[in-house]
Amino acid sequence: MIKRLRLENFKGVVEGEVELDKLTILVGPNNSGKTTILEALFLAPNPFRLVPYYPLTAIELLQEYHKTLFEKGYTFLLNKYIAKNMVIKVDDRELLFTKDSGGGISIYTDYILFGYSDFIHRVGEKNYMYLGYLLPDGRVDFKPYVEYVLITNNTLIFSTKLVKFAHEYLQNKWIEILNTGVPALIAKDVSRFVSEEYWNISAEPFIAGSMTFYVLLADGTRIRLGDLGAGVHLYIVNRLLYEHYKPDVVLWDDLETHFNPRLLSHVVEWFADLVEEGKQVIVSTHSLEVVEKIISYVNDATVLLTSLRDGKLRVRRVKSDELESWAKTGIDPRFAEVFLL
Amino acid sequence: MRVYPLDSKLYDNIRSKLRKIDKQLPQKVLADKVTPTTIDSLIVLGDGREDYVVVPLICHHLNGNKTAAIVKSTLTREGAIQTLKIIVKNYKTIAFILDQEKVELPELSNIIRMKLNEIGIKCEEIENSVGGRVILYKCNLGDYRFRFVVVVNGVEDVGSYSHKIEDHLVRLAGVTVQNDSKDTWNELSEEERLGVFRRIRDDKSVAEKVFKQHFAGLRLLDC
Repeated sequence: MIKRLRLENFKGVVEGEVELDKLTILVGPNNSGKTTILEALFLAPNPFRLVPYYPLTAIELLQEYHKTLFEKGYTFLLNKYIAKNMVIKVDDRELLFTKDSGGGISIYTDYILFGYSDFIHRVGEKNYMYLGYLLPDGRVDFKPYVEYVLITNNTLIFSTKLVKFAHEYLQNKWIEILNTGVPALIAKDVSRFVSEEYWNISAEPFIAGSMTFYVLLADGTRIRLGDLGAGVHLYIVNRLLYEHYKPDVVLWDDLETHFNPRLLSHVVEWFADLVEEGKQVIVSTHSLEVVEKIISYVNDATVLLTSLRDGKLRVRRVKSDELESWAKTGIDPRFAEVFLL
Repeated sequence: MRVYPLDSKLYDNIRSKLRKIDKQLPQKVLADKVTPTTIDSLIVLGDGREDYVVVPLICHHLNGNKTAAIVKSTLTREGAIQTLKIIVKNYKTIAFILDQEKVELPELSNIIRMKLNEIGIKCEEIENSVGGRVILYKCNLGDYRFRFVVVVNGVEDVGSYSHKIEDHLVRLAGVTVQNDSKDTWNELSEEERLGVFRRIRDDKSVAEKVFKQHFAGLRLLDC
């Protein structure tokens, strides 16, 4: 389990530390560092590992995620785009990013693998293992072995913005996924909270031979995944990704997006199952309804109220009875975080 | 003085009502961005609905550079005092606004003092004005010291059997109360009610005459 995350100069956070639990809920206003925490945790195991958002590495996925137009490059990772060094430290393992005069970024870790002494670099007082290089034009350069390195427990981030990248991965791995029987199980699972009865999920041609994903109904008809409600679509894709990739830590950004309360309860129940299986779940939300729901399923879930002021990430661990008394008082932590942190 | 609601429901209640009065009003009356150093005062509403509009409008007539946090507890009237224990430590001055209803003012003052004592807040009355409708206490909760201003809604001679914020509003509307000022106020059309709120916004001197205790009490947040 990841217990602690420390950030220096990562995106909007100049400095900050957060302690994590088996199930951690990050709650706070916009621009309070919630997504930054999740993205740091997503990069922490290894920015160059291939993630199930085909055909991207973790770091490339973040580049795509943040892209507004056609811009390329990784300076968005560095505080105010000008910081020279940036650190993501998970428990006692560190990722160090250093920018050179050409605008490229080298990535090192202090987790030095046995047999890789040739790749040791001295940075300041410490030895680091070189992982790879981020080119200013958005490309990445790393040795083939690097993609298999895991510095921390493996993490996977889920977000509505990432669904489009997941489709391509699922298509490429479809036979591996289909023959596990998992799609049929997920289809039946989803049938519990929609009016139709789903029998399976398939990848088949749509119009003019192009491939797409469908849910199969009991009467043999098909509905394209993209034509389902956004919440059902998101849940199916994320479950497929999870079941195939099996990360140790599930990161979910803006959990409340697209889910009605019933489907949300189902997702939260799944989190409770994951925690019981020994997995770790870290979610961000703006919704106190989501927080209450998670606490009702996982009593020892940790609620962290976040705030970001002048680059300093502030985090307050909130007990469920505190949330209740704030509600009674008429205080909403998402509005009053400035007084609570 | 701008107000900063500490809860999304209260924020929406205030904002939506102000917007009906004047689309530009929410931006002028509500603070959207605060830091702990810019706020040292809190307004606790013991009662709701019209207080949501009146109190921010009166604040708007006071010191424009200052911002006060505003909160409406789920507990009403003097019950809201129970919630002070949770929030008191961030503020130098707290104003508590509640309806008088049918309780005599000295009795209401005793009830408030008792409620403060119940949650461990020791208080000493240091000022009593506007006929007992504004009381300033010097308080402490453990080592923490703060000023507590009680503002009691109600107008003696308005003809209502129970005194509340609507006493002031019907006085401003110029209508006669038959029994209860709240009923009289609710019998007015929405446009008539909005007209009253617009008078509060536009005419500070008239507003100050009718909401004497509110101006007096909320001014104490400026000290």
